[in-house]
Amino acid sequence: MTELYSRATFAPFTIEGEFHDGQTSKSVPAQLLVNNRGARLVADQLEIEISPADLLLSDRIGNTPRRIEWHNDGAFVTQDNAGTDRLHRLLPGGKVGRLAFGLESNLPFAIVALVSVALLLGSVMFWGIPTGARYLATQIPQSLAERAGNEVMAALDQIHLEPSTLSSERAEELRTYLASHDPFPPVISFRSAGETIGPNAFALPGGFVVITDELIALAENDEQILAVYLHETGHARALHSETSVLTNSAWLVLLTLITGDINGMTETIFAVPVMLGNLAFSRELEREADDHAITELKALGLDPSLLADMLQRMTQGVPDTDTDMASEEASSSGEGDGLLDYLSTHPSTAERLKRIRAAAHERP
Amino acid sequence: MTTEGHTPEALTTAEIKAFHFNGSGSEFFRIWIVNILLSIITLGIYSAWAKVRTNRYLYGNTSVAEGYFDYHAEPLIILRGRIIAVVLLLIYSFAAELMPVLGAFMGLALVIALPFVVVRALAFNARVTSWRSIRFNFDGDVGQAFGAYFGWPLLGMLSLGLAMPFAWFKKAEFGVNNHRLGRTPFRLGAQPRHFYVIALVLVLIGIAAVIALGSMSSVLGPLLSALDGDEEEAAAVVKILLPVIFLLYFLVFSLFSALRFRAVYNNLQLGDNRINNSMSIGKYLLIAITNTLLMAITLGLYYPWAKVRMTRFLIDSLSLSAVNIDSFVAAAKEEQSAFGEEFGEAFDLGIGV
Repeated sequence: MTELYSRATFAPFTIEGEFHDGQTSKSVPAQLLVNNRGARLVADQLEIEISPADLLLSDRIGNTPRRIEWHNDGAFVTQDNAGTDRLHRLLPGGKVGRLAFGLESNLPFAIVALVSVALLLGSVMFWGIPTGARYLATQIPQSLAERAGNEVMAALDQIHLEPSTLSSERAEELRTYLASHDPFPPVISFRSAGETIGPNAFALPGGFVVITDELIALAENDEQILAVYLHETGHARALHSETSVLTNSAWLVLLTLITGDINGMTETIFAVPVMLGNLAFSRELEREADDHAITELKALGLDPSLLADMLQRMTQGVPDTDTDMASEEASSSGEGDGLLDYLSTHPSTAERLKRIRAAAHERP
Repeated sequence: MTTEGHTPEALTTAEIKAFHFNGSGSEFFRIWIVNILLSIITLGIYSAWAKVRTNRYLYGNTSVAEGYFDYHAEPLIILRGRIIAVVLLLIYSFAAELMPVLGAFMGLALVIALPFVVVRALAFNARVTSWRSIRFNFDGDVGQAFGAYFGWPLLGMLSLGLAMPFAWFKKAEFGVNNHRLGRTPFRLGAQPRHFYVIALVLVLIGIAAVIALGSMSSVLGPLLSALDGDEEEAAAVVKILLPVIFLLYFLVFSLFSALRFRAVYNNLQLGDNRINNSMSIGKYLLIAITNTLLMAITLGLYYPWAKVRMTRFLIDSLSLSAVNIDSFVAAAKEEQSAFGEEFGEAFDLGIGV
């Protein structure tokens, strides 16, 4: 019976509290007498000798009551945190709890923690997740990405898209034209889209580019289609679809970690910065794709304004077919209905037009 | 308040004991921010310890009749559950984007598993909670949970909402009547009619809101037509209506939570004792609204104070009409299967009783 406590000698002390027998909800005033030989619980008509090796103390959290147990059903519960801390220091273990309490009771540290959390969350959101996702996207095997692209294409075909109504000659002509301007042409598909998607083009994982009949009909010439196509190959070349899948998963996990302990309406406000972060990244990818298109167009000796013209036509809808859209909205606000989703993931059309036109004027 | 000892049961009269919450916002803020920092630094691992410390702070500051609540969950069990949950979540979110069919299948599987998860979550949380060292317990089974979460709400919908308040009642009954403190079961005091009154209040408010919105847009309409262009008008109306609708939804939701809380926690039987609630709905709404506003203004920083403020309000609105509170007997120590327990905790659905 040596080495009962971590310190051999100390002045005996007493902790006042309540004894619970663990069988009933009775609460009896009690004392825990701590001395060199161990601890003795004295309550009503009860005296229990407890070996220090059997003592189990709950960690300190604020000024909440502490539990002292001893491999038995019963428990000694006390509000005397100072006395319990004193006993805790005589026993091995409890280091994590003591460290946590030390940090939690230190206001300057709380402020440092607050600033660090803001910086850490910011850098995870705006640097860590995007960088990690871009790297991981390059590590996805091409076969897996292609399978994923095929799956998504199949799902889109089932829900939103119809087979293209282009004549096979026109489709072949266009495909050859687009591919001839690209050293590594992706798989180009044409589809007829309903009213929801309308004139649009998109890149899927595995390097598939889909162009809707509506976009082709909207274009004034094939060079405008080429401009949009080069925007999409910008996405495909830089694996933006794959990256987005990864960032979306990471955001979802981060959101769950932040809101995991949270329920109720008020707390959902924590989701807002995370959603904004994801949208900001999505807009960054759009700008990169625009830059790719600008560079490629210039290299082909074409005017980058082709992309701007096409974008403008896409946001304005088709002027002479639709009677509901009688009043043609100036593209400055860019808030046509049905485009709200599109605009949230993309920079505003006005901003994109400005960037593209500025680039067009830079150098001939 | 100190001697309510050993008088014979038959002769005792009920003594009113108030519930108290002693937590403080600044203290909880420090615990909260340290929890978040350590959780980030340890890549989420500490979040299990954070959860335990948070709950021990909240429970340990809650007392009635000189008896405190306590939270006994083991961080390692919570951690195990969270790892499983994060892995499932990752697989699901990949699947949802890359393989829509598999994603849909997984989503469906999760929905089907919901009653099981609910039961495990309630059982886990009950068993790690104690008052005066007597553990709570939960006896509900998956079949009952299926009824409470799918069966009755479905019936409520099929009846065009007429049976919906009854479905709320069945869900509250499932949550309350399956809980016990030691061996003493809880009994819901609320009747179906209490839930029909709640529905009536909500419907009346809904009608009033629709009338108010209608008159508002009839005022707005001409005003907006002055600015020519249909689309601009539509966009402007949407801009005004969206926040109004959101605010209305928030108010109705808060009102529903408040009315439901008061109904469930009033006249709640626990053995010979009764829990009562005399909460002011107006004050609840005021706290909910100001909390949300302050959180929005402070970018979420106000959260710990908001949490303490609302918890204190809810806990302090409760009282115990105590006849015999020394004689709750602990349940026999059964070696219960822990399978699924961690799922229940990890997918913590915020199922308040």
